[in-house]
Amino acid sequence: MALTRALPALAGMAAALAFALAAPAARAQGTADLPAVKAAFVYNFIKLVSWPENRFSSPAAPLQVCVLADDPMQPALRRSLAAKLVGTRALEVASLEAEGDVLQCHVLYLGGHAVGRHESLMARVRGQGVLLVDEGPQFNWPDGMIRLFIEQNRVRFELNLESLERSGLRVDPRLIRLARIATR
Amino acid sequence: MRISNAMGGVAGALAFAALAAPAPAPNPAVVARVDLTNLGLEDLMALEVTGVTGRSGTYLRSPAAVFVLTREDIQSAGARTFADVLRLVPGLNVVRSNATGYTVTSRGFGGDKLQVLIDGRSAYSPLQSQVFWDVFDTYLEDVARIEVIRGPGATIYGANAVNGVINIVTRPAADTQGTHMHAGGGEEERAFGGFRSGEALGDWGHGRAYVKARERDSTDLASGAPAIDGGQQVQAGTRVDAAIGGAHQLSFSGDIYQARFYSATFPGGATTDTDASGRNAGVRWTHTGAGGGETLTSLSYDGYDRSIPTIFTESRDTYNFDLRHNFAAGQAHRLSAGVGARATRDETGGPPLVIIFQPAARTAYTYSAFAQDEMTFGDWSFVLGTKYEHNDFTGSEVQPGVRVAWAPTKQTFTWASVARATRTPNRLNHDIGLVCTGAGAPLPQCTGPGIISIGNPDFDSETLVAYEWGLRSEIRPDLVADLALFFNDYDDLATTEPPLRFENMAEAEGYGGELTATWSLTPSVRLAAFYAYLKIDARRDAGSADATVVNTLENGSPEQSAGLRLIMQPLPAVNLDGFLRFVDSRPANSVPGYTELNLRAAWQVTPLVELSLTGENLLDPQHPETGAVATRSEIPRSIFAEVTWRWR
Repeated sequence: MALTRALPALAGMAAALAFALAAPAARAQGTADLPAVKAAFVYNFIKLVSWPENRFSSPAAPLQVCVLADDPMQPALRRSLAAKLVGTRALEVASLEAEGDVLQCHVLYLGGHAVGRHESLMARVRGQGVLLVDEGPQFNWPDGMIRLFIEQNRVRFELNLESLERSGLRVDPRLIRLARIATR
Repeated sequence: MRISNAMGGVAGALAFAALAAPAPAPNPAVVARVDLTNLGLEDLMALEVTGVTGRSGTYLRSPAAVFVLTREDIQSAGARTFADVLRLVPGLNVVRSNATGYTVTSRGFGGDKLQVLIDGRSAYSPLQSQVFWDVFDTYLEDVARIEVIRGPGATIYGANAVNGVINIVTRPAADTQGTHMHAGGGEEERAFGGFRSGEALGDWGHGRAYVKARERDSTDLASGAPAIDGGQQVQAGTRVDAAIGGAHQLSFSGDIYQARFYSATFPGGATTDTDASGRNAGVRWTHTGAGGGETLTSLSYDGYDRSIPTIFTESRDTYNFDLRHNFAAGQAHRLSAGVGARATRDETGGPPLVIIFQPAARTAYTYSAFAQDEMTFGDWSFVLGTKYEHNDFTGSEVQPGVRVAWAPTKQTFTWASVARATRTPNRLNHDIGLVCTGAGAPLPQCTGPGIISIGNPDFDSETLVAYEWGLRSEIRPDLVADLALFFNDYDDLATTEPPLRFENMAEAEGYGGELTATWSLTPSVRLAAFYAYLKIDARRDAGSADATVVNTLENGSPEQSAGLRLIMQPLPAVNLDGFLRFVDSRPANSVPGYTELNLRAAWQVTPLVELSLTGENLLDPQHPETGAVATRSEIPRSIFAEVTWRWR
């Protein structure tokens, strides 16, 4: 290849490199894997929700994120959240048996649409300071707290402030501002 | 302006942008491969997710041999043209005849049995019912997905959707905000580059515009001498989407291009450059009613000029109107119906050009209507539909189809279909003529000066009745397999009777199948494999004297083809893509089978900037895809580098 032909491409790359160095902080557009995005949402929810102090044995106790053993979201949650820190607390992702102790959980993620099983779990954590995140086809009344859904290829979420309050969870206003408020 | 000069200009503009760019504002979206937990909620909410309507959703439940290339698939492969992207699709055969020319076929036969649409606008030329793949382009980063249906789609898409439909969908303007630039070059892909910029337009909509340029090197003859067939193209385009209230969506798109391709070889051995230019514009208006009914109205214009001095010139303007409505009728039925009209007018050059049309100018009209009912009863669904079309060449054409589908489990889906489709005659079949300058010149069939009318005003439609069966299974959540089998029964296929005249005097059966599997070994390693088999049995009618048609039909398509693709991210910022393909011999076109390998490595230097190196056809210094040894262009190995970057 003649050098003259290569020059424009080389000049372009030099320009790109200069730009790359000048703009390290910005982020670019792209598409992403759906489970990874949902897991990242959960991580943000954890940062913007505060649990009652009595839900932890000590200030350094880990924060438990529970997910049913056969939930399709389990691998993504483990990959994205395990061992991450929120404040002073490390996140732990735990597999939950359907009859297991749900009160060890601070977050209970109910993926997929296994509705029958989910309703009984939701009833069991009612008012117990467990943040429920689900992705059912409709909002789960009365116990649902945060529902993830997809609209125009983007993940959205809706909140039920009543059930969050009933559980003693405090929600950062930033979370409310970005949410759709669930209505019956 | 030579494209390499344009490239220099682009590079200069970019260097300027790099110096002048202020600290970029946080972009509301992210790159797929970064750790998403680093993102805030606003960023996450702006992020487009894949796998929503992808593999296991609608794909798993499509009652047809469907294959979808996602934007990720397209970007990761790094191919520079639509035709090269389509090599990734099982059952399609892409033949590159020289530096810039391609033919794309589905399940054998010619490129005139394939419908190609981009955002609903038909991309094939009514001249010969084929796409001019050499000029067919857009800003590839803006393509959302390419849906390929193998087998007939005529009940909806109408004539030409005989062996397949390629449906290219570009991203909504709202998804292409900010600026994207790319530039690169190397062996064969000598230089290419362009940029696209998108903005919100008040609170009513979004828009984007792009400009791009590319230049390709010449391929080589079998002897190693250059074929002098390179080419260059400049193209610009725009798309504007507006939402009016909640119920109305308007979308406008348009493109213009100018291209020059060097020294194509034409009958008699003449070589001359081709000049091509074109423009198109379309408006689509979607209205969603309160009851969920949807009405789509579209109006489009497509015009082009092609000139091959001393051989052939053509100018064409095509106007198309479509109105479609679909709505749910009760729980079980979804009804759709539509009407359409198309007018296309051309002007072609007369003698002393070698290829002429009689009459030189012609306007042709097509009117159509279709109706379809999709019924769902529990695990079963049925699709019944038909298209009625009236054209100036053969009058009325009816193209009905029926599909049955059954989903016994969430992971398994099986379907079967019977459909009729026709390939209606075009200008070439009817009206083409050859200008002879003397005995044997420019073709042996010439007996002296005069015109041979090759086109036949009585040429009829080629017809197909297709029987298909398919099975799709999500064997595990990470492993999806897709099998499609077909038996195609063709009648009234084109023959060329001596001395030189088109007739419909052949028939054929094509049968075979495609097996596709995609396997996500881990989230960062994906494997896709396909195998396609095709056998064609052809016969000519007793009255036919076309000595070559049987061989052309039976041995003009690869009997077997296979592909293996591996995409992996060994590091979060590195994407590797390998695609190995095998294409069987096509004895009627004098080409042996070949195996080729494409490799691409991309490094996300920062979330904004990506550098990549692509190698295409790496296994041989050059390989032929069509034509006799003495004159054919052989496709050389190609290696090129590219940089892409973006900001708001």
